[in-house]
Amino acid sequence: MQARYFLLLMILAGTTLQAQEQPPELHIGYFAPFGVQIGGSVAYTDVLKQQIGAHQWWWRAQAGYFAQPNVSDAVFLHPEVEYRRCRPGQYFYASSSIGSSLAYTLSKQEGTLNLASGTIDYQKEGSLYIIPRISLGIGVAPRKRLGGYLRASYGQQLGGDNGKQAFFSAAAGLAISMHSKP
Amino acid sequence: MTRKAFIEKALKAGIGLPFFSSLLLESCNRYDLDLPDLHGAFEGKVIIVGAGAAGLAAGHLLQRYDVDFEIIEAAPVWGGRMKKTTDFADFPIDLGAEWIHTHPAILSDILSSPDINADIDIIVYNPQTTQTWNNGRLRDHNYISKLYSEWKFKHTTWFGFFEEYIVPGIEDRITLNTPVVEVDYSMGKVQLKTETGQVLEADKVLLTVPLKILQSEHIAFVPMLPKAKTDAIGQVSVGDGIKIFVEFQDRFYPDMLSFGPILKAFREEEKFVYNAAFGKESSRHILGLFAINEKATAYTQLGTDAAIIEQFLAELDEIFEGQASASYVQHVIQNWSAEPYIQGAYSYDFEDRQWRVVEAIQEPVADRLFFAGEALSIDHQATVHGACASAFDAVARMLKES
Repeated sequence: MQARYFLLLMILAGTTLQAQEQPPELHIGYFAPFGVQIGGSVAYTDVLKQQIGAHQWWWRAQAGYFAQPNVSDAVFLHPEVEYRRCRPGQYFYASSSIGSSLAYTLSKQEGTLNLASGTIDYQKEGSLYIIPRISLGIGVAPRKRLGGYLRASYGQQLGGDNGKQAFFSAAAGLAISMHSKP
Repeated sequence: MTRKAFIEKALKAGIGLPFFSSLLLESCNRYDLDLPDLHGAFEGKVIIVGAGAAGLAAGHLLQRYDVDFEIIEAAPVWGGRMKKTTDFADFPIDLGAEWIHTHPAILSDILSSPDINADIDIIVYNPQTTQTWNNGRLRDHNYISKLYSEWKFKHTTWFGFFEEYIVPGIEDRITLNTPVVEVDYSMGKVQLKTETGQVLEADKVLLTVPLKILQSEHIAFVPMLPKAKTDAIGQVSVGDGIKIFVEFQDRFYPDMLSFGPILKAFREEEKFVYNAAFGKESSRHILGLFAINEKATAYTQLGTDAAIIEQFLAELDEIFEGQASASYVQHVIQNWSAEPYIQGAYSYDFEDRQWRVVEAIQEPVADRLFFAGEALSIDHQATVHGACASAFDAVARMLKES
């Protein structure tokens, strides 16, 4: 029992130590499901477990928006756990992550076009679904303040009106260190 | 560059799906069709040959500019490749042009009449279930719903749109059942000879007949058209075209079914089976087949409607394990290749660069012969709104150059 507490203490201490060395990051970027839908996301990313050799574990809470032009608008929340492989002292890393999005989509089903003005009054329907997905990516941890990332994800849309559908996306953006390094 | 050509190049370059799909989405972009800004008054007479989308749009525009004009149509009905049937299902069915391939505001642009303060209901055509039939296997590709969308009419059709908003204003200018067999522009005025020997005279003529009619030399020109133009006309590929609608007792098919590899199917856009009742207020199960080029020839060469439907049901039975024949109620076939004044689908490919071919065909002859039609819209070829845009361009040329 004591050994277990000791281990937990060591992990927390390590995490704290790691958190000091590797401050949380704010990720802001472009998010493009299916390569063509347009959107953006913002995420808070923090160290989950201290770096052991080249291995790092992070967690991320992400929120975002994407749209299929003229068809739908969606918002999502996406918690995930990320593994980074990064040589000690280096900033470049390769990553893989797993998580699940909770998404809400508002889709245009039909509309009424006014022939005089050319404007359309759309009727919309909402649907809620989840998207478990895995991601692979590369990134550069902030050396002082700014870094960046590129990620590609694949998953399955579950629920909603249309049942199971493949989901893939690409994301790119900036990683902003939440604390300046001395 | 056409949408098809761009997709082809993107795929050849290995760019793949993202660009492929962005091209699918290109059709969602707003395309503005502006009324030509015309100056000066043209006081002569214009004859429009062909009462399809381009001919009717040109007539609508000439009416607006108070130009004396007449539309001569060979067939017993106007509409060209727009056609509907209202007695097959509980909603009107487009036997010809069906989808709105750009933002529906184009309908407002085509009318360009702020006085028409009417509403028209449209469907966001975003098929949710897509399958492919490839190498004897049926596979789901429902993610296509995230990549592809267009629009359709909810309660009417392309034909119905023209019938309600364009034709009433110009109906008294349309003469049906009058095939033109010769266009003589050797003199000051252009003389049109009809199949019955009647001679019509105009200062300018706008030819909007399908390219297939020009290619098959149904209309003789005196003097002959310049070689550059006839060469260009010959460089446009127009294949067979067919649409089949079948009513079934049960729904056993997806919103869309393509044949062969999914990327190839969407790149070629030659054959699709689809739920024709998608988004309609209908309790019936109506499946549509759209096929062009060789995919259509496989049916049209069979000769009779009975043979065509037998072949089509057999195909569906193979894919859906006999459900088609078991659930069959009725069908309607529109064989566009068998229409004597249409003879095929629409412009599909160009032997030379598209813009070069189109410009050569569009080029007025002796400032008296003008050309318009779906094939002559560079960015929106093979669409109704492209035909209208081409007609607007031709009218602008015609009246500006007078």
